[in-house]
Amino acid sequence: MENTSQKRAKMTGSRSNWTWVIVGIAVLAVLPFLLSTFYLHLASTILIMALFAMSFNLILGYTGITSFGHAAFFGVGAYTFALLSTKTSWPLVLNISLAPVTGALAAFIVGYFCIRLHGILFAMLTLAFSQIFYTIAFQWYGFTGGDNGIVGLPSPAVFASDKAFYYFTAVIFGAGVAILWRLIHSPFGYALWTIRENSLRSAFIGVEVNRHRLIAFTITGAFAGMAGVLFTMLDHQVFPNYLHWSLSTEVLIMALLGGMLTFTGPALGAMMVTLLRYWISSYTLYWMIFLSFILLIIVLFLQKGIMGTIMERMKPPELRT
Amino acid sequence: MDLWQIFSFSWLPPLPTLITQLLNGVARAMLLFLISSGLTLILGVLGVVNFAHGSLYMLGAYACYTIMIYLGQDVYSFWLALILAPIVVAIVGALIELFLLRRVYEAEGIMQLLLTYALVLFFSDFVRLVWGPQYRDVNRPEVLGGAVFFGKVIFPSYNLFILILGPVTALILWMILYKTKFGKTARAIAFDREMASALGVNVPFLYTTIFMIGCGLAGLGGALAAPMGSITPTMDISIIVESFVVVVIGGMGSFWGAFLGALIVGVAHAFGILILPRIAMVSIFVVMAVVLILRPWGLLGNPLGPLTK
Repeated sequence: MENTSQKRAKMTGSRSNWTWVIVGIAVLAVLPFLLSTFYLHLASTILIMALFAMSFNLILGYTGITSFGHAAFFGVGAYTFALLSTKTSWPLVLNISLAPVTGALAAFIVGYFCIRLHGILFAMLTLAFSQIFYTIAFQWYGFTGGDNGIVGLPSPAVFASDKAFYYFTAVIFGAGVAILWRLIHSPFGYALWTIRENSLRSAFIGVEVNRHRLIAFTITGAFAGMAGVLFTMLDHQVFPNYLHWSLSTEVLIMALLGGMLTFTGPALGAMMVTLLRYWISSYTLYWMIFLSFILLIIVLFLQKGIMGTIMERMKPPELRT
Repeated sequence: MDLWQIFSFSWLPPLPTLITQLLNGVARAMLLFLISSGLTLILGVLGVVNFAHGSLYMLGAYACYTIMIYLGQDVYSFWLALILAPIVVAIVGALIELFLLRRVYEAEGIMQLLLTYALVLFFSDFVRLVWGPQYRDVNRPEVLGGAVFFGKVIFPSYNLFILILGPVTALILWMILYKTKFGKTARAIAFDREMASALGVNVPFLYTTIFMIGCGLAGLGGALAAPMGSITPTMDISIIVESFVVVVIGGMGSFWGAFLGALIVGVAHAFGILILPRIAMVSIFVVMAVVLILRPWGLLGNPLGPLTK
């Protein structure tokens, strides 16, 4: 007989996984002492985007839902925080924790209308709905500040130093990753996996497909909102661009580049895209063309993504597909 | 406004304005139909959602602009551009099909979606690179520069031209698809690709041709839209979003569904402008939300999916 902790250890991974977790935590912990302020800012950005991309992969890779409009929920979270902290005097903790709630709410509303459509139609509709959110943020000058956005958000005393905010981001990132890991390795996560593999068959064995898809979509909305609030706090500002379809594209490409069938792949993708973006946009304004080339390379030659391809190579030859 | 005003409808603009707006909405609907029918055609036969359709529409508008600049202020320059721009876009479409799309037919459905999406990104920056970020304008041809009066109703004659051209194109397309051998073969492929191929249909050739026609329709829509407003590097996303809504409302893969959906979206948008000028798009989405709740497969769509007959 196994006891509960042994069962849990079996479910959540082997010992080598734990080694990687400890190495990861150690690296994240010492990073502020090695990096200059500028690169620490970049590291924070990467962590935020990695959280966004890894949570996005819950629907892309683990449920098989393609969304072209996830920036909407990122932006809703960002605007929630920015509006609350400029228009109310509510405590910081409340303002931060309300952002994932509104992100999830927005995802639920969009998902409620779209979820019964499958595949391509769903992807089309997420793009359409996100465009609505963008238009509202862009046009409603009286409330959201229109295309001027909301700038110069007050910096809370707790996060006066860059290091403090970096550690806050890292803790949220770690907690988010832990939640995602548990979620994916729970009965709910396995149900999502069966939907990805064959939604018709999983309906036959009693999985309520659309309900599961809607719940997964809502969860990613909450994570996107959290990433949005972190990003807003990092730069003390918010713009309608946070809801623009180009950000939805970036998060999609992050997940695909890293490998949508792996857990950590999207984080790798987030790091690569963010670094590449920083590097390329210092040379040219035409960042989208580079994104399109990355996407074309993935589609034509690297369909499993970088991490997916590495994992494939590590498998014994008879298990490769 | 008090209750009396609401019941007397005095908050509405006068009737002639409403009729003009209705006609403008229908004219816009015809443009949307041109694009959505190309989208539906490609989806029906190739089974690919062409995300880049809006980008090809934008390319058509820019091609029209460049051709007209090249031809100079000639009486015929617009009409020539109207013929040449769709051809240019169709050729671009053929290149896309031959060199990119063809490689991913066998892959998972998401890869085709992502490939056309990559093209959206590419063209979005490509037009900025070639034509710059500023707005471009094309003059209406002189013949259609004025307006037509029906009593008190004022209507731009260019919109009237589109109003007539739309249904004519729809009819021609319908004739090609349902009354010619080419159309029959195309529908046979849509029904069962392997069987059609086994019976001697040249499937790759037909795929390229259909994709070219679809792209040409988008290019025609773009060229027609060029004199109606400014040509901007962001027109791709707004049009693709609207034509997706058209396809969802009308029913995926349904030819007349695209026509009906375009009419609904065009008119809803035109009246939306009267009520909520800044976020007229919201009115379209209200209509779509209602359709999605009542008939998730679209008004004229097939409940079992677009590819089943």
